[in-house]
Amino acid sequence: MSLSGVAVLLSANVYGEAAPRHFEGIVTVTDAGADPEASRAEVRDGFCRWMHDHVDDLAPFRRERPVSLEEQLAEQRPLQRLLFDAGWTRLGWPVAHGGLGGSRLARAVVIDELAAAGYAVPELLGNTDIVGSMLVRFAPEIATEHLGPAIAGDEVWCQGFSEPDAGSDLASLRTRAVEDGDHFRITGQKTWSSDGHLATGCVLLARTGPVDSGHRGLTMFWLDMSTPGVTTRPIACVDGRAEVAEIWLDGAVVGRDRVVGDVGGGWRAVMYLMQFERGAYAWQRQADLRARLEELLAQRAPTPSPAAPGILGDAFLRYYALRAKCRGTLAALDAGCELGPEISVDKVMLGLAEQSVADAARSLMWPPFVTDDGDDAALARRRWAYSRITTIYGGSAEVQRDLIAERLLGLPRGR
Amino acid sequence: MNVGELDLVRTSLREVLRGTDAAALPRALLESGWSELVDAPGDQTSPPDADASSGSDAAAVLALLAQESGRVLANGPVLDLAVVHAVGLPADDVTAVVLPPVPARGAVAACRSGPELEIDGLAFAGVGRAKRLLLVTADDAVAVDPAAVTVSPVGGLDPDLGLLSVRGTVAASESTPLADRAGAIAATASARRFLAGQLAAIAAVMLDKTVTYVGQRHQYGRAIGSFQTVKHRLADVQVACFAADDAVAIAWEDGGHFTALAAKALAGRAFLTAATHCQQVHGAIAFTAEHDLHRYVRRGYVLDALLGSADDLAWELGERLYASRSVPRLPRL
Repeated sequence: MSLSGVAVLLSANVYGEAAPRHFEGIVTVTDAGADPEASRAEVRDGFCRWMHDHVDDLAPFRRERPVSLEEQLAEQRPLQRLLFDAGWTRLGWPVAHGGLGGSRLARAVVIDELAAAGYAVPELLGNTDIVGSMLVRFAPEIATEHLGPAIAGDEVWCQGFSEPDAGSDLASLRTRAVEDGDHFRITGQKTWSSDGHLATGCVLLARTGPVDSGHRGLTMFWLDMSTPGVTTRPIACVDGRAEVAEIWLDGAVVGRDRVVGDVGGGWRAVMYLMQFERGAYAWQRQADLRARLEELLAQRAPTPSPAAPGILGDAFLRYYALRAKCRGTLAALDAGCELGPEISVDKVMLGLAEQSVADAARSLMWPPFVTDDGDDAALARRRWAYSRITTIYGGSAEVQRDLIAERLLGLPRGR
Repeated sequence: MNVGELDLVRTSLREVLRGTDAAALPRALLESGWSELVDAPGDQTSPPDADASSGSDAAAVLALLAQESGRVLANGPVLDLAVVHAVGLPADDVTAVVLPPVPARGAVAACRSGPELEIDGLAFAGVGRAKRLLLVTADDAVAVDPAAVTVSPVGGLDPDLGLLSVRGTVAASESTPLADRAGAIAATASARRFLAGQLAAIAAVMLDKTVTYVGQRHQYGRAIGSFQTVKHRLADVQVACFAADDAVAIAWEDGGHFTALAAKALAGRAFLTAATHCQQVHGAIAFTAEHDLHRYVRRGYVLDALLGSADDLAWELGERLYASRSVPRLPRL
């Protein structure tokens, strides 16, 4: 598969040093319309007007194609830049960290409207929201350095959490970070890291305490992926793309100033991060799932399955429940609340919605889903296969159900 | 209405619901100040808009009534109060609502057939005291004289509910128009919201009872609630309850028809999920009529069937989406 022109640009940026800060010729927007003081309704109106005024600039981003992850990120990158330059994706981030200030709900409005207008929401914005929220809270200096470029699409971040023997049981991870003067030497292996092979930066969870210290002996680090001793290998996934990667750390040296939060405070940092996976990321996903449902409506076959309304209605209800739940979660996060075990409910709902929308596409697009090689069918297959991971990542659905039962319902611990 | 005021209303609703005979519930509520709560000046919407979008004190109070009456399996005509409010009438205890028969997909309680209205529907206990029956037809909502119909008891799945079958044929000229088409849609939406609130409350009570039970019941030397399979069943009920509660709250706040459909579908699902899992993990005890779980199961299945079951409504939502070719962005951020 050949890389598109833009993909080459991205690759040069991701792997090389001299990142172009702007895409001249594409970006003509300087009339930043985003106003951090505006109400949500004003943000909605302002952003819709902006999209209308820039319909030609935005035209290339209307349609998603079944391309490789590298190509997709490259294709979406100029859109990230456009949104950044106009200020829309900077809403709700602190001014000190590359944002414009205001409420994170304003940013949620932008994502919602972008997807509703038929544009693919840039993939990287989700993880930027998740990781960025943690950096702002626990490592403001790192956030100042890296958050702006990530929102603009100039940096790709990954999460270095899972290991071959530590998936849902994250607290058993074994990657070691050994203190050595003013830095740490990190050795170990991470895996299933989304975008890991393309990333410029990584939030990495490693053990600084004794082997048997469980979740108490963990520390979160910011790792520059170009650090000597860091190597990656993309892993081919069932959706036909290399979505995730293995990361090896062979004595990688990380400065003490790259610790996110406190030494030994890694668990607190990662738990804090998880809230945003449920809140902000789930919000982005629901916006996308709604677009998927509308695609299904447009694709109704001339002789539709008699079961079609039921299948669609079912998927809609899962979407609706997710949207309602993460709307509340977003509002709580915006109010500065740290969320308790209830976020596991959001997580279960996200998996249910992702899979029922993808399953509805499979059912309703049958048989092209099975035998057609066109873009629509290929995309539906990719999304359907991808949806299988949504009940695994970020803590499997089984772990979430344990948490709901024990911490929300108060059932006794035990197996 | 603030949280403290709502708590006061909740307390007084509980008192009325505890101490009152089913058919007399509307009278008792009126005597304890119901009209002041729902018929406040400026709140009384004249011809209601089917897609109105404003929560109100009346909606908050009706939501409470649905929840509290569901929780205690109240069997009086409490839903009638919501419908009467929805068509823009002041609260009374002389209007009985006739719901469409089951199954209800597209069904109405009264069909126009030439110069006549053919009535076939279900009503709650209290119809005997009513001075008028409120029926939704395909085009409007009308009142007819109770003397013109035949009322007979329906035992069915939940004899405790005291459902009544209402049948008869009356001359259309003898019916009184109460609301136009928009009002009729609003009436159905409000009945669905009410049923959804009751179903969500029933599911929540079933979950509570089951959590208590599996924490107390020991087998193999430990509480059965410590077994993962039991936990996961109840976690699924909890997830469904959150979806139902959110959807019900959104529906009351929004006041529209679409959100009422979604609320009843999700509340119905929460109930069905609770019925399956709560009954199973109760083991043999819930097979006995001595345990009260079966009362909740029976009630929930009947309320789910009224005005469209969860499955029916999922289907109807799907058809609406196909018809409009768009997916509403609800709830609004």
